[in-house]
Amino acid sequence: MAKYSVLLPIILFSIVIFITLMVYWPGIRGGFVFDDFPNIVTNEALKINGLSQESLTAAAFSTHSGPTGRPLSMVSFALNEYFTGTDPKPMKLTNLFIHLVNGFLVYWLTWLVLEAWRKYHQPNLHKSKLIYTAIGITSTWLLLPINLTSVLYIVQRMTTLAAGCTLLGLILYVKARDKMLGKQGGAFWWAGAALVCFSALGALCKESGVLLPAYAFVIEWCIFRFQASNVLSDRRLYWLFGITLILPGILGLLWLLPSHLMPNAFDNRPFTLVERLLTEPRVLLDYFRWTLVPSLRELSLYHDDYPISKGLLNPPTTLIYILTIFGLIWFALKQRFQYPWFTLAILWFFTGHSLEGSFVNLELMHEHRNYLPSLGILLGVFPPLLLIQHSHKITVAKATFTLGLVISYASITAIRAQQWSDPIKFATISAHLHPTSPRATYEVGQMYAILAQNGNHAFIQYAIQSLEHSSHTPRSSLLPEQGLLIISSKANLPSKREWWDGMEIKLKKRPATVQDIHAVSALVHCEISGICKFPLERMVSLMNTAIRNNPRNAELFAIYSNYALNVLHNHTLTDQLMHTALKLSPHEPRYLENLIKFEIYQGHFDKTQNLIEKLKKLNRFGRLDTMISRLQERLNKAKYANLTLTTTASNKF
Amino acid sequence: MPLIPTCNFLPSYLKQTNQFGFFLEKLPACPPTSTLIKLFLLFTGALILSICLTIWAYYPGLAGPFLFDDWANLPALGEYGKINHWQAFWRYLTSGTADPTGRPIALLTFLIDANDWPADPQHFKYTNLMIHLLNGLLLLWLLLRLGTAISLPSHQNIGAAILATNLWMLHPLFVSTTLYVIQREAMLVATWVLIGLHSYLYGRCHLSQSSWRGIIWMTFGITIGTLLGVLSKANGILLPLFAWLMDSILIKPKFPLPQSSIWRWWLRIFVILPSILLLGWLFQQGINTFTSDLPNRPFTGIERLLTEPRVLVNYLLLLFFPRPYTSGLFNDAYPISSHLWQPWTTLLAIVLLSTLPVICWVKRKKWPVFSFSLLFFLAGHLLESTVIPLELYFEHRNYVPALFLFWPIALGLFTSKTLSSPVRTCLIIGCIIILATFTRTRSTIWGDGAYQALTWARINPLSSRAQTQAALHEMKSGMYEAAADRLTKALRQHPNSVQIALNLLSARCGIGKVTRKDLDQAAYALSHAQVGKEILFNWMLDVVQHYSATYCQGLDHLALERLLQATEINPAATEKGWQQNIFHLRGILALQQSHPQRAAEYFKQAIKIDPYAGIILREAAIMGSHSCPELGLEILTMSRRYLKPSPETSLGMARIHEWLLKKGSYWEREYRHLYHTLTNDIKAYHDPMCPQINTISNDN
Repeated sequence: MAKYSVLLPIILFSIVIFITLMVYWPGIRGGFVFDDFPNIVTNEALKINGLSQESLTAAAFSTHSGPTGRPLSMVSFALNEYFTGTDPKPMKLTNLFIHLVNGFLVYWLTWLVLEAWRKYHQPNLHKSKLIYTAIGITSTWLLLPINLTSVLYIVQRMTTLAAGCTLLGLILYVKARDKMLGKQGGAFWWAGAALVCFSALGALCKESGVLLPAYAFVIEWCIFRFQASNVLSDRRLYWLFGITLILPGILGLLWLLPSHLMPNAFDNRPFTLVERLLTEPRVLLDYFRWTLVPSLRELSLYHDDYPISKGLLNPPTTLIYILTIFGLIWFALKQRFQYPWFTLAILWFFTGHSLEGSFVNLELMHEHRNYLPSLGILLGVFPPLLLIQHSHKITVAKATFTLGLVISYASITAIRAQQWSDPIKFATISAHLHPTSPRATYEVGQMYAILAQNGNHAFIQYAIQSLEHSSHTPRSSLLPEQGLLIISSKANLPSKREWWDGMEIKLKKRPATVQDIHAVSALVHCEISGICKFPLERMVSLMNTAIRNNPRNAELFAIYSNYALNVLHNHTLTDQLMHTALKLSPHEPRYLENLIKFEIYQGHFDKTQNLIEKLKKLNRFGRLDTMISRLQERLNKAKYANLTLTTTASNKF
Repeated sequence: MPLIPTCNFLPSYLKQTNQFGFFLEKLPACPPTSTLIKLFLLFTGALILSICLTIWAYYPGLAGPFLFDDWANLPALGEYGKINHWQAFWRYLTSGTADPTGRPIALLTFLIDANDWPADPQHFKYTNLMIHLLNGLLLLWLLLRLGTAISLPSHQNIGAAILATNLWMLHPLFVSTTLYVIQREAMLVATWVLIGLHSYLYGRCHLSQSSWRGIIWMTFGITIGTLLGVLSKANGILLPLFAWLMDSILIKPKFPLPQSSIWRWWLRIFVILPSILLLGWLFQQGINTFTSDLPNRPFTGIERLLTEPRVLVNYLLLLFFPRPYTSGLFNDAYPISSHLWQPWTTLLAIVLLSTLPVICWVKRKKWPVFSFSLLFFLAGHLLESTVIPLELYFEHRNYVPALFLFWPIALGLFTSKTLSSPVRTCLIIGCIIILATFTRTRSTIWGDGAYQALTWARINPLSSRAQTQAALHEMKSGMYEAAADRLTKALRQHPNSVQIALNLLSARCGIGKVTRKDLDQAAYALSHAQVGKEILFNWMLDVVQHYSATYCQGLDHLALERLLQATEINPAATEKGWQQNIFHLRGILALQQSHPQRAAEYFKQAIKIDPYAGIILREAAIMGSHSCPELGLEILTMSRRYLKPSPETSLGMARIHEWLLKKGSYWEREYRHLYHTLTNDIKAYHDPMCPQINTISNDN
């Protein structure tokens, strides 16, 4: 017995680890992709010179992702950069290591849950069955093709770290619950502490970490069922979940809902709140399908071409999917005692998606959102399959089926890892698989542009072709046109009128997205840095169209102010635009910084000091210390030397 | 020490509250202290939570600006100078022009927030929120007492009352009452109605013990409540009808009427008679509306009567299926019913609204709470949503009528036997979260004037008011082209709209040039518009004040004169006020062109049309301030004989106001003051701008 419980899992688990390493290894060679660039590659705060507290704090709060800024994940990237430089390979290796650790935690949690099941519901189960089941679940989960983007897409370390915290919290909770039922004092407080501490830690990696109490509730409801050692139900648990789940849930809704109901809340997306709510059921059931029956044609980093549901019957599957989801949840709730593993699977999966798959203003679909929810689906498949006692033949059939499943998942994941192993291969395959995805088609154009930049001018035409194709994809942003303009300007080729017109048409048709803003910003930066030369009237027209159609977008005003100052040299306009940007987004330190520099440049020193005081009020955790000291220094220099900056010097901002 | 604590152990709070007749009914004669303490804690906790939630929901809206009718009414705070002495106080208090009463109670409460103009809107909005909370508490208390009166079990009564109050207090439809400063009037009516009903209920419940005491309380409640209500806003007059409904549906079945004839006469005089008189008056108004034109409205009397049922159904839909944001204050584009089936919902709404009260009345014994709440709602709309030719649609009109509307729902939730406890809790929490977040969303929009204007313009593409408001904000932030585009589009839909046409001229000025076509459009609007005299007046004053040769290409004095001529030929401009304004504007224009004599002539003509003290002093002062004190003095002395208080004043508060001004010799003093100033000015200097004055006077 002891052999079974110690040696067998170690051997089996080592094999699984080895296979996972083998499968993922080719993917380690791949490059940075998509969101890696703004968050890691071009994020100056991550390039730390030492491990001082200030530099780590600056790195931790260097992005605006989510309400917390995901500091723990950002620190982990900074440490990566510190020890190994801006190189994707060690970063991907770190991600893979985290994935393997998570695999171990999955095994541990699954084993604990199965053991609890055995102990309280099915005492005659043989322990070896539990081990095989836990190993089956863990190996499948580690090799699930849908989990690949969480591992090889570096920035999604945020997801894997948060999942790690959630798994640890759940392990502690299940252990504490077991002890509570064994009448050990203090275990209740351990359960509470585990939920609170690991939720907080998880949330500091990514917001999905706050779902820990919800996952714990699902396990409690399906496995432990609020049982107490001596009475029918442990009322302390109601209080526990009331305080850690219901109350934060209500407060969270009160906090999030009003801002999501604002009429312009979804202006940065190609869909409205209602459209998101209608589309997500289809997205969720597609995740479900891709988890169990992965398809190489459909799985991808890019799903921005996913068709949006415009109404209950547009497309008609919308209503069917909505009804299916309600049906599944209703059935799961009803049949808790009859099919507890099914209930656990369904509730776990939808709990895992309750944040990113509901009303929150995020993009519609990302595979990495399934990292933990996919475990739920496996919990619904394996235990009913492997735990039930059958004849020898059926047991062999079941083992073969499990092995076959693991091997087929491993093969698909291995092929995907191969696709990820080379940036050019990755870009072309993605564009091929998703010809209407604006991002995939843009990436391939960008890839050719980089190749052309490296001296191979033959690629310029390819780049232009690809980007022109990308610019015509539905829902495409201004990025392809921006790429076309920059490439042609750099190569001294004439720019086409339709590129400029195309951008203005897109801006007039819908609110500006994050990508559009990036595009406009890139054009301005290219011009200011002297690399590109664009026609003045087209740029001014573009800027005016942008702000006119997005009168509440502070960033566009800030970009225009930069252009007005450094290209148009129109100080009155600069002043107006900077103030508008600040009025629209009074808590953005960058806008204040810009205004302060501008005021110093104009010699308005008394105003500047007030603005610096304002900036100090925004200085949380000392993250703006460097900025403030630099500005103060600049002000003092300007004051004492009565030195006004030249226009070119202000180019820096 | 008894094993079960006796009632002496009750917390004193509970005993006090029980004095008012709620809380302990249907509990065991002497319930265990723990049950009572639990009830007490739950009740107090829920109450505090409700208040906090309401404040949270409304908080972002407190930063909003004054809106729409605020600008028409609140400047009275500074009209007679700072209100820091009694004379100014009485003048201000009687200065209201809305309703025959002038709504002095509402005016009085504005003094809490400011005693001069301009003032900070934040103080006003904060006080409004406090009044909203007060109304919520009064409603809660009344619901608890009514629940006791109809013998609801204590825990259901408390739960339903708190939930119903929350649903009302947190409902997003009332953001446009609470955060719309001037509609404090509607909120105060709710306060007086609730206080009146409390007092009535108190007296009614004591009638069986001491009939005199009961009758005194009831008389006091009905008369004082109605009086103060009417002095806040006219619909306070509905209180006797409300009391009648409450009595006949909820109280009478449990507390039958005493047999004494005094009591019966009392009921006839104080409750039934006012209600019947009111209904009769409305009937007569209805006949008037049917037979007369409504010159200031874009609809006829019959159209209003056909449209209002749809409006009411729309209100009900918004109340029961709230939305995070609606058309707001600008409902001028609400589609009018021109026929019974145009649009087809008209007939449906009429059928629904004519059967609903009948069903409610017939079933009042079976479903007393449901019947009462719906009949109360319909009765609350009798004044504003029937025959009186007011504007068609305003959300704030629901503030009082909807007071009890959520009570049956809340009661249904608490008494339902089919709902399990977790489902009930989820439903309650869900409802409250939805309402609170919707209200917070809406009040966030209300807290940002520019955002609010753009949002309303998006929701109401056909409303000329909404489009103008958005364009004004766009112009304020320098986006003249966007404003011009918006107004051009709007003008195509509303070619008669003075506000759109004139603001389009402003937008064109911002871009650089006013074209002939713009002027033609403006002239067309001015010559055809039914309303808009104030807009023309204010706009023109603004233009003329900034007027200079380089002010705006194409908008020269000839163009302005053309606009005035267009106004003159408007058939609606026969009204004295219009004519006076046209001459006044001509005068100002002449002054800007350095033609003081001509200006003086225009001013004199303006005075001649309807001479009263205010206008004489204004015109004389303007001449003085344009360095022509002689002409100012001439106007002043010439018109002295006309120095009567104001243009023909009707009955009501306006007459008291004039009497006050007369009694305080206000105009006399103002006249003397101006006379001295002008004489001193003449002595002090002689301005070269008026060289011909002497010649003219010599000639004379």
